[in-house]
Amino acid sequence: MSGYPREIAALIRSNNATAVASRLALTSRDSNKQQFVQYMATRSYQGVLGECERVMQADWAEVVCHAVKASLGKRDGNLAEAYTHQEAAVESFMRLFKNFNRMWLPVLKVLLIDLRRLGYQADKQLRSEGKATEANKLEGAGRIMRKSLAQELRDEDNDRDMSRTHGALFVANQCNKISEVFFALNTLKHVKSLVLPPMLSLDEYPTPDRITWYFFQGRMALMESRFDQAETDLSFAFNNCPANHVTNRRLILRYKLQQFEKLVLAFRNGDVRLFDEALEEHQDFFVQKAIYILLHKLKLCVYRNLFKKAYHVVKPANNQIKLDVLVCAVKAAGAEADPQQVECMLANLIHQGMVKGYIAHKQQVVVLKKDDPFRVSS
Amino acid sequence: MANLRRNDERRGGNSQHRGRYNNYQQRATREDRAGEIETDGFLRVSAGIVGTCQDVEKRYIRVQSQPHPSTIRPERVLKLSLEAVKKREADGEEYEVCHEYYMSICQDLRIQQLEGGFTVEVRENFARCAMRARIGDKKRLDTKTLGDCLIHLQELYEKNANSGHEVEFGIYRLVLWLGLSLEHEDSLLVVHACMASLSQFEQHPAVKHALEIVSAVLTGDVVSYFKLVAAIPDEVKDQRHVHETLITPSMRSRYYSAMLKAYKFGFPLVELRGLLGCSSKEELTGFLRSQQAVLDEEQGVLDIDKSKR
Repeated sequence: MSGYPREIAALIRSNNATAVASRLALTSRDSNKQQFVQYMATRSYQGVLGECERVMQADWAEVVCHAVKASLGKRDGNLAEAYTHQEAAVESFMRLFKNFNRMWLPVLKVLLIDLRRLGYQADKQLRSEGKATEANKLEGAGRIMRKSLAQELRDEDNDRDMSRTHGALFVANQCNKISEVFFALNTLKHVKSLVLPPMLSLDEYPTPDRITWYFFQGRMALMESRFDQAETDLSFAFNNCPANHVTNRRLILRYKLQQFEKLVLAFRNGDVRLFDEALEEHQDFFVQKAIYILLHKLKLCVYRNLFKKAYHVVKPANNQIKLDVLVCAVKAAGAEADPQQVECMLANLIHQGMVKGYIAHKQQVVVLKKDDPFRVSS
Repeated sequence: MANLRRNDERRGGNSQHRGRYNNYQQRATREDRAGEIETDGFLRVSAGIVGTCQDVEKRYIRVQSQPHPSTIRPERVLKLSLEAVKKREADGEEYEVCHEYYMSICQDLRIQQLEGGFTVEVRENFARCAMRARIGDKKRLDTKTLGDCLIHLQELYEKNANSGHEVEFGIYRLVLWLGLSLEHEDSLLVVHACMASLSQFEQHPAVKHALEIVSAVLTGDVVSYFKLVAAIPDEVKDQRHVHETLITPSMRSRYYSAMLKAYKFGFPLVELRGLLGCSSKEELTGFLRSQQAVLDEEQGVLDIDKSKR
């Protein structure tokens, strides 16, 4: 029954980091591990911990046991608990890692990836069980990762070559991946705060990490409308991504389409003037790709988004909006606002089902449907 | 030596003798087929054939085989032909007749492979004639002829720089296909192509104006559309014909349908007139009647609720 811990202990002694990492991974199908997991299900934590300590150092024992407990939790579908254990495993490892050099990075990587995934899954499960308030595991994971990142960056014990900092970019990327989930929740400040102090120049990090890093940086730039920067970053990511990693390349390409950046931004914000600008700016490109006209039809949607925004700002009690208000909204977006034309656009939107309601011309109001009048019908 | 001769024999006969015969054959064919070039695999037209026919006006008979020079008019005669047909149109001749005369001029030009500035002039006039014409009770536009002319013109402009009114007719092409695309969505691809070929002139005010019209039509913006139509630059005024027949009716009826769905209660007729681009009250009431609208004459409104079918 102690085959698994003995094996790991031997690997630790021979400094075989990758092998240890693969055995600690949640996805490991190692039969010894399965047996040990089963075994642990029947015993108390302390008991098993004690057994492990007989073959390896105390901290390592903690790492192993917590990792196994995490596997157990996952197997039994209790993701929140699994996460807690994974977190403990990471923290234990970090205590060890303080004294290691970059050789042991593989273990850290594996533990962090699992941490992130578990955090995400645990949150999902908690939310579906109606325990949304407890669904902050992923956030916790983010915190730990940032801690570990800080630790990595401050490696004073080792030379450049062996520095733990080599893993910094990787950890940073994991944080980014976490933040990806939070894009909607507006916790982008975490991503922004991930500035790497130049201990190692960016070129010295392994390429896969750099690609991922630039991918996220590029997307950040997109969000902030820094289109030139976005173009540079995403181009780097794309050009350095090996051709056979099709999925990744596609992902990058999705964001890289520079010509659409401005359009998309304008579209999301209902910014009619910006949309027009973007359309005109890249007109030749769009015409060449025969989508200019298609995009023009999108223009109507831009109006819809603008009106939707206005609606949410005004929040009228009786679900009526004066047409004046919409005209103001268009003006505010910097476009020319002929009242007749705005009314015309609105009529077209209603006709096409993008806005639900009706216009009473004499009163110069639009009466919207009670629930969600700007719903996009699929 | 003997071997060589035997080779000749193997190739089928005394080569010397055959050569003479071959030369004769080639000469003969050269005479018959003075510089014939096959086009489209259908009709062999003679390059450089110069017609000798002096008839200024000739009916149009589609040429099926090698025509004799005496049936083709040379360019200087065709110039007179052009003036003749222009005069006919100005005198109120029926479109069908003018169309035929134009077609015969174009055929003569094509057979003689004349693709210079004069041909451009002919095609441009033909296009204008087609735009001005209305066919049948429904007053339709001869879109086929117009389309053909515009296509030919595009090719001709490429071969003859600065020969005609490239921008003007480029715009007509754009507007025509925009109109056609309202019925057939796949014409939109051609609209793209038209836009692409106009892109070199995008600073030209008439081009900018035309692009704005494209935009208004695509978004269903009748307010802008009618304003733009009222402000068509003089140099491209013939596009009015395309608007009148193809685009305006469509914009009008589409927006009317949209209004039926989007509005409730009444809509004042006075405003409706300008909105739907009607030049007179009669035009508006005529249109509304054709849509079986219900009006409240007393109040001067269109009764939207009752007009909904």
